[in-house]
Amino acid sequence: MSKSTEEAVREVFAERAAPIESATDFYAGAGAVNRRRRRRQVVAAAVAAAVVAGGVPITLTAVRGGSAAPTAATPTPAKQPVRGSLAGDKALIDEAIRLLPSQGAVEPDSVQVSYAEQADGYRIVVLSGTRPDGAAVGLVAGAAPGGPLTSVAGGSGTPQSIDARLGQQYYAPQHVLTRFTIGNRSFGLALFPDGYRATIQRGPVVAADCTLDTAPATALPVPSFFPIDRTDAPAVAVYAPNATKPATSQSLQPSGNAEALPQKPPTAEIAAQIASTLRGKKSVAADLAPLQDSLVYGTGVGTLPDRYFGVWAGDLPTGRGYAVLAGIHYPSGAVVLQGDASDQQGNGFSGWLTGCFPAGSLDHTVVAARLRTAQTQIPGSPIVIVAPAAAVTAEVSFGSGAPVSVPLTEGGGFLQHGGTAGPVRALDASGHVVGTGRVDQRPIGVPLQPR
Amino acid sequence: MSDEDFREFVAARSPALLRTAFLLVGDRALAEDLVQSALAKAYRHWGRVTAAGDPEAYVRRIMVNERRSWWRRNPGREVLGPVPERGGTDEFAGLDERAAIWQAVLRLPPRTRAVLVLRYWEDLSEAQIAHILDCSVGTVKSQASRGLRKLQQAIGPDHTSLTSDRTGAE
Repeated sequence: MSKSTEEAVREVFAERAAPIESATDFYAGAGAVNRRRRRRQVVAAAVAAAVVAGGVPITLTAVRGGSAAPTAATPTPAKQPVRGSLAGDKALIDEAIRLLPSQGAVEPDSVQVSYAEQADGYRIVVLSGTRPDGAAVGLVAGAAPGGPLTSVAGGSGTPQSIDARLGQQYYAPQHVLTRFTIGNRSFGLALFPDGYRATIQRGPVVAADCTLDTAPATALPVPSFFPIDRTDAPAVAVYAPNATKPATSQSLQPSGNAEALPQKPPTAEIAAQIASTLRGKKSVAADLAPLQDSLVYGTGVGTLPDRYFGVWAGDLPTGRGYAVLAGIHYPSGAVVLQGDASDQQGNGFSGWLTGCFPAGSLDHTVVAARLRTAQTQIPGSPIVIVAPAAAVTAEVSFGSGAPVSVPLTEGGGFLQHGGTAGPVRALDASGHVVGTGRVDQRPIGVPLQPR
Repeated sequence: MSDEDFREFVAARSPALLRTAFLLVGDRALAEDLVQSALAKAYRHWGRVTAAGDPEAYVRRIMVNERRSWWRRNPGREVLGPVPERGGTDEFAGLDERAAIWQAVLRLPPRTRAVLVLRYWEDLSEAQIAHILDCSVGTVKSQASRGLRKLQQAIGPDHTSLTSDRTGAE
């Protein structure tokens, strides 16, 4: 028997949340935050300020029990051979061991260093240990070129699972596929037992016909630590010996300071790109930056576009709020659109379309949809019509009656009509049809599909 | 204010709050920050918080709203989970359905994700969620419906083990 989405979501939430534990002393942290706050407010609290200044590092590195500072583990030789090209860098490894208590005080004898590697001058050390209460902790320590070694990923859990607890992205014991940020750069880490193999594949490319092309998978050096650029978010698959299907596979999307990743356009630039092509109410372009991520990731693909663009925006006939259609343009020429609107009470309408249009097809397409509030579709709520720029009129068909003519401003406009709308066509000033579409056609555009 | 009360509350409830926070933000370190921030705010008004009768609901409400304000202040720092490899070749077809759902959850808008987390993880009623989010019950229903639909869309037609839900509002 198949299960409902609700049941599946419950299962996923339980699966993801259940292992989450923390070595953080939230009580001490909350107290420290407020003591620090009061210190700023009360000049006479010099003694208290001194305690805080020399006391608990707030939040992530505080240890259970609220002691004043993490207890440093005594560096000990690793029990198993350390893998990676920096396995012989004792100073680096010892420094990483000193950081391990940031995930909870560990028994010095339990420390196990698994891996030490470098890429583009960035260095990492992967290690784990066991706390006095029996819980295992893991840590990825990383350093930017010339910078100090710091904790960049970590976690705690049962000893049986700790090999896989070195980041939140894991699927099975013995395989670590995770991503993290060192400085402003994202890195992926794929660790797996000897005898296993792994492949890496760059992110999908949206072709001109809205199908998805994928680059061929290439073998990954074993084990591997690699930089991830914003646009190439690789998928990594790990295979057991002699297996043809991956035991684990995962896409590693960049994380961390997205603003520092060079491929990510700044918000102002996105707004400028949208404004440069937006027809109608151009003044709203600056407000559309929040659409940038939903446009990219709402497709389920995540491939970054080469540019963003605005299509049309206009004031709602209700007198307050506006509707807007904007999109992303892939290098192939395919585009994905998203509409959004707010109603006269200032409440958001649902986003009213997301789809992919093959290269060039938008030039003769009319996008039309009845706006819906977050609650429900309201009979008679406006139908927004966005046609090619040359269109001055749209004709909307309702059943067997005569089409309703809608004047368009810069190719867009609204119709308030409670009937069930069907086909739409747009006409230019000479009466030539310049675009066709259908109201509430679902999906509008082509769902992104693999070849 | 009673420090002892607060200490007991944190000891008893912070694990659960942390798990909820993790589902809200999708990142363990950020989740700790979120819980820490919410507890610090609650601590400042602990007397009033406990007098109101449901301190956990209060802290949860702070977390949800704090998480939304983080997103509003700097959406570029949103933690983006890995994208399901829908376009992969056969050798990548092993990505399982639950992983795809989780990645889709990470891409939901904060408010929608909060509704799903509070409904399907915390098992709160729609009225309780509406109180936390300071919105109507109808909005909660529609956000839940919209979120579930997005998850279904995100995992795509290949995942045939999922059925349509009774969430036809909209």
